[in-house]
Amino acid sequence: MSELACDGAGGAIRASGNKFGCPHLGFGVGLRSVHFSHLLNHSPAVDWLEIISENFLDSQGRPRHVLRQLAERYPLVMHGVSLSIGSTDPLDFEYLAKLKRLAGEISPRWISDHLCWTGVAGHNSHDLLPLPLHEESLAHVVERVRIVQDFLERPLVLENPSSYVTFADSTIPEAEFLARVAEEADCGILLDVNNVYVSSRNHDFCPEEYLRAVPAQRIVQFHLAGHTDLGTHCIDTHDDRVIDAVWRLYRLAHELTGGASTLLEWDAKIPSFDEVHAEALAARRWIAATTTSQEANSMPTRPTNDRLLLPATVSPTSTVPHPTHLVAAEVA
Amino acid sequence: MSRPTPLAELQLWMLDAIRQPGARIGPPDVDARILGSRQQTAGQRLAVYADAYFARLLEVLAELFPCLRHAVGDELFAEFAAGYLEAYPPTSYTLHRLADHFPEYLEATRPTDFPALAFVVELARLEQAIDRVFDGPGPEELPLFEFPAEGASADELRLALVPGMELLSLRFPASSYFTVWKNGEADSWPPAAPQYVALFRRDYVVRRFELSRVQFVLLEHIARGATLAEAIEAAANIDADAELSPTDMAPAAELAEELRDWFTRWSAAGFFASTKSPNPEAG
Repeated sequence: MSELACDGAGGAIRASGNKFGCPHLGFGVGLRSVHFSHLLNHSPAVDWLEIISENFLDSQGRPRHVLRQLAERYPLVMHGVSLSIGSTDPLDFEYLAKLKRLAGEISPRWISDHLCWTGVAGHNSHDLLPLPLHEESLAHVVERVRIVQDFLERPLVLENPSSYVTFADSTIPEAEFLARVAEEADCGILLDVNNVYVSSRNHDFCPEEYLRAVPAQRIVQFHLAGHTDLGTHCIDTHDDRVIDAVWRLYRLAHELTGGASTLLEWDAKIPSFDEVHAEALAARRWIAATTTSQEANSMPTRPTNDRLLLPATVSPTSTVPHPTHLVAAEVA
Repeated sequence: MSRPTPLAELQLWMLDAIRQPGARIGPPDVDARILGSRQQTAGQRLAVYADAYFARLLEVLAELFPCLRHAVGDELFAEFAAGYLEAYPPTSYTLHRLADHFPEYLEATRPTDFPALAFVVELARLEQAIDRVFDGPGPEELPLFEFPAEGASADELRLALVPGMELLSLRFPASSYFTVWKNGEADSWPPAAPQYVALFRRDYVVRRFELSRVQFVLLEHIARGATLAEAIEAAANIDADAELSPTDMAPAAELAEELRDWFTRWSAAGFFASTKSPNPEAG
């Protein structure tokens, strides 16, 4: 495969330190349908938007119409949930062709999906299911990433999902697995810092060691989100603010990489766009705290939001893990 | 070291395990395949996925059928969803295809000794069509339609409905119920009565237009490519069967009087995309 590079067409956007030359887009938010009207009517000064690819692949109605307009105003990134790169089913080339066609239409800076599988035997769970982490699964994923990258003619960027089980067959730590997939398939990494935290709680590993094990030059993007802490385990619900423990990990990730495009996801109990955007911009303050005080462990600018400090009896109203994505119909 | 379970086998096992209704503790061999954590057993960990599988898909179905969910209540809706997902597990990469067979499933499984449940099927058909029209092909990029000037021959004129328009013939007044629900008002299930609805999109919003049977037949023939004269003749000749109200009976003379009014309103509402060639066979 020839050398792949990101689509960096973006004018004043500064370069990032990743090996693909993907630009540092700044601090963006995930595009959700409840914010369509606000974005179109007010054009808020958000650095960039990440779309859920599957919401637009087949759209011939308002979602696609809105997307075309936003593509003229903001840098976009396509983030998928159905590639199923780890499945043993054949790759879905009809799906990939649609991804490629959409990319041709909106010129995303890059295309990402998850290091997971979503279904098998023709069935789709619509969940990000975990892989057993061993040499065989590694080789399987690497081969498929190469095929996808050849087809899309651009680097694929893979995200570490939150996970809730550890397979007895696994022999490779997750961070090493992610690093080796990226190195051997020559793909990028979308490092979801919240997922590192959630999985570290669920699998009893050190999240800081995880961050240090991931090759910094392959990190194209960071994800941040809120989660639900059930005491015995955490669930990646994307329904709240980012907790301080995750912010601290983000600060470390920033230090290790020199910074990368950062995106806040909010998928349930979604507040106003301004509130979501403000949470994304909080990342700037955490980065600034790195340079002003190496000892800084919390942000004084708003009350702590670290639910680890709360009793384990905290009762969430929603514990459905990300992703659930649908654009509901508008009917008169 | 022993070889790991083949990946395909493990994936089939996991998918099967998380799709089992009420899978709380996992299959008997869960401990051989999944490790416990400090605070959870292997079965509890697998149950996170099992719980999420149904909860996520139920949430999507509830979003696709909000009025139906209101009509039957959360508990019965969840029962419908569980049965449906077992009969038709999702196969598409997009959640928008999740409910492709939902009305069909409800029709096939409804108890025959409770005919009122057919209302549920009709409501499902309506909401499924709304979703299809919302994100399917639409008329927004088309030039403004102008009805042909006086003098155009009805014997030759063929009209094209806007892309994506759907004409529904329902056994219950599901659209009327939908309107009441949308207005935030409570309503009991209506008795059986035919209802005809045109669904189409304008400015990216789905519009509903309730029709009489005569209007439905007229538009249905237009949709099939009949000339205006053929469509009018078909509408004028519908049987005045017992189910029709007096206003649905349309002697040709009365129909002729109403046609101008109907087409004026339908044109203004955005029913038509264009006129077709008077003689498509001529090339």
